[in-house]
Amino acid sequence: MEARMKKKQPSAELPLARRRRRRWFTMLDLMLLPGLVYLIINNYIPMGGLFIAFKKIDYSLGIFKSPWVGLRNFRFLFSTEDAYIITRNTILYNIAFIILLTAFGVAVGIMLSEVRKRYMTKFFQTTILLPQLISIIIIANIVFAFLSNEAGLINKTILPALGLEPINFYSTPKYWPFILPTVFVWNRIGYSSIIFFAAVIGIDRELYEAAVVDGANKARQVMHITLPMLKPTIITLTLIQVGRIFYADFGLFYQVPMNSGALFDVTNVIDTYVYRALLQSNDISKASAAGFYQSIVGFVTVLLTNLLVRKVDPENALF
Amino acid sequence: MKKALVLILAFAMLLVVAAGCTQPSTSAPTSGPTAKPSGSETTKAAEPAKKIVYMYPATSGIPVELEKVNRAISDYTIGKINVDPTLSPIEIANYNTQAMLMITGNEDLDVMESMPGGPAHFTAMIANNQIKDLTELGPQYAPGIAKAVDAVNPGFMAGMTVGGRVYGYPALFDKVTNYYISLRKDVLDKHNLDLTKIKNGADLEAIVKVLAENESIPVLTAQTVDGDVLTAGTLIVNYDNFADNIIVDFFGSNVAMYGAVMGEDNTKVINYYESDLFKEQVEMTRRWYEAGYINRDAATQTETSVQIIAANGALGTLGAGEMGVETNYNNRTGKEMVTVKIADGIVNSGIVQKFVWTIPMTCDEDEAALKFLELTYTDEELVNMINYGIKGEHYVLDDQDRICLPEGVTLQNNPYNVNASFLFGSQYLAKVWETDRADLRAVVKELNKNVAVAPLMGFSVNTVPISDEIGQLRNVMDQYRPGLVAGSSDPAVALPEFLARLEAAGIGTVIAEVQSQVDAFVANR
Repeated sequence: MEARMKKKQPSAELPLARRRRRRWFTMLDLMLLPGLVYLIINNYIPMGGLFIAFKKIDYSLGIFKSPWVGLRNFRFLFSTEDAYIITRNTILYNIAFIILLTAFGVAVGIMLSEVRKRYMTKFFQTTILLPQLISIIIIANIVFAFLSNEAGLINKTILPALGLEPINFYSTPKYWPFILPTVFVWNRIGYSSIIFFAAVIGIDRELYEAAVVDGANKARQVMHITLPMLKPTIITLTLIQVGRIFYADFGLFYQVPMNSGALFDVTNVIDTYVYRALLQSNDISKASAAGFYQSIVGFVTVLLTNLLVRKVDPENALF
Repeated sequence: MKKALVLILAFAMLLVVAAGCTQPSTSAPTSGPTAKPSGSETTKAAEPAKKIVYMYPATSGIPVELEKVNRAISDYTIGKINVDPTLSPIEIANYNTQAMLMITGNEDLDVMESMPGGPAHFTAMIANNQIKDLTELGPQYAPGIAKAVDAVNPGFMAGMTVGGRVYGYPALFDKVTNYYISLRKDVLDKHNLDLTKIKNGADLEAIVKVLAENESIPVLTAQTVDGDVLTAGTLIVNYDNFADNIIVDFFGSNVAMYGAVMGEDNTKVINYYESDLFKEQVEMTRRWYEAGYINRDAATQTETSVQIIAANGALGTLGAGEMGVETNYNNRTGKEMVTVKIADGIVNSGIVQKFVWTIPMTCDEDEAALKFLELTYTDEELVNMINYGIKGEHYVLDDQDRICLPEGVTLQNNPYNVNASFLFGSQYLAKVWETDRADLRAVVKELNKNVAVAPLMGFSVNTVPISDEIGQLRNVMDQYRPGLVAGSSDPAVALPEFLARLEAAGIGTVIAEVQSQVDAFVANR
């Protein structure tokens, strides 16, 4: 991107301006640093541990001296239907999340940009951002306060008022494919909408003025100006999310359903599976095998999506 | 436009990073106080005191003045054996998770107590090679422990061996585990109900029914976090007559699925979940659930019954306990409870292995760790400090040498409320509560000397050849068991599904393997 931007500079530029420009890029590079350090510590160094997936860990010998077992840990993963269930859940939920979050994010972003009073914009922004700042444990308990059998708002107040039978949410899988996306969108809409809001207010006002002169109403303005102008942002954000389609939000799938066994068919995702394998069955080799599988498939997904975008819209491909 | 996009991207990435940074805190369970208190300030010995971390489950929360008591204990043990311990209680609901994280992460951990179930169970940790073989280390550094155990019952140490090697020492408490029903006295009195007269399930149901109809709090909740409302681990409640309750011997296994039914052919291994006993039990639980007698959230409860009763989440619980459990319940719930014994237990490997003191592989101070552990089995002053805190501040003694709370201190505001003397070394060294009989320890010791020991005492399953199957079976159990034993899953639907999934995960292979191991054990005895 840097190279492309530089190419646009006229060749006969003043040295002073060039120096200023260089300093600008150094600032950008500096901004990159914390993220890079985080990535290296958190994402690159632990990759060294992938070899654990091919070992049988013996604590008395230590990790390095434990015997190699080849692909035995992977066979464990694929010998049950768990591999299918966790892969299906992870992908389907994440697809649903991406679509919902983009749709709601764009809608809320546009609505925020239409709020004329500055303090009202601030108020709405803060309110919708608030859930994102709450710990997932608290969120799980807020959900529990709605859904619990003994004290839940829905079972104790709403359903009896409607003359309906109480529902045991924590042992009925069929409700969770709706509950989880609802909680997710409520939780994440803040960030998502702010990014789109920023993009919307970046759009040249003259375009709208011209449209008003031509007699376009609000809906047509959104359809023909806002959405097309948002396209690059939407594509970029979607790409970032698709790259993580194999990584589920652990807290959402583990804490919010209260780790209820009866819901595993609809709440077990790769991350929770790995966690349970590690902490309840206490087998770090098998947990690593599942993690390895997740990384490989995730990597392939990123490559494929990028390939697809490059075919369709080369300008917006990430690499 | 491009420039704007760069800015947006940079912003988005920062957000992603920020979000990423906060992620681990959501998955990490509450960590115990692992920071070492400055107990060594007072050391003036030439050689610096050896620091060790001593970890155990906290059954009624982490005491507020833990650090203060820890300092007093450190001062005492530094003077005695030059060891500076850090007491590290972990909430019992998180204990398994935390222990496994600490061992896997090779953190500072020198002495730890095993759990009655889960990956931190004694036999599970042996199978994973996570705790040290003490066959030689024990007698070398801490001969007093085995002596103290044998003094109570020479049969107990047999339960500490696997393949002829010793791996730990049982916490010495009353091993005569019985089964109790416990309900709040105030509500029983309010409705003129007498719990002490119940003889069978019908009697109990009549009482529970009245309470359920008149009180807004659910009547019964599960004793532990496993969801067992009426199954209580190894007990099968006989509905017609409590005297004929059945106990299943799970051979000290933390995987309660294969076992032998006591009183029958006790060397025949059965699939517990396939048995009629289990079926009847979960059907009864389901009926009670539907009638509204039990806590409908029991399958997902994350606290023990004591904490739930204390927080007015339930009126009582049914579960295992030892002699003295009556006062124990009162103290820990802070409410007056009526506790009635409904069934006798039996001492098997499982009971001896309930809470075992072990030295994890992470320990690098074997000698100091074992010496401190030995003190918890032999030193009365230390045991009472761990249990009750500092004399005059957290407790006072009455004329019969029993524990009372000082003026102005109640069970609720006691800053060092531990009340789990069964956990620490030898309970026989701990003083009794003012509400207990003064000679309680002597009486219990006598009971334990003469207790009936299970026919297969000392037998433990070697899970190495079946570890893959057990891993998968455990996943299936996690999915179905809590719902069934808490009544929230309908056994007519869930039980056949559960059995089919167990079958597919290889329960047949496991039963056959355990049976062959039992046969070999019996033949070699």
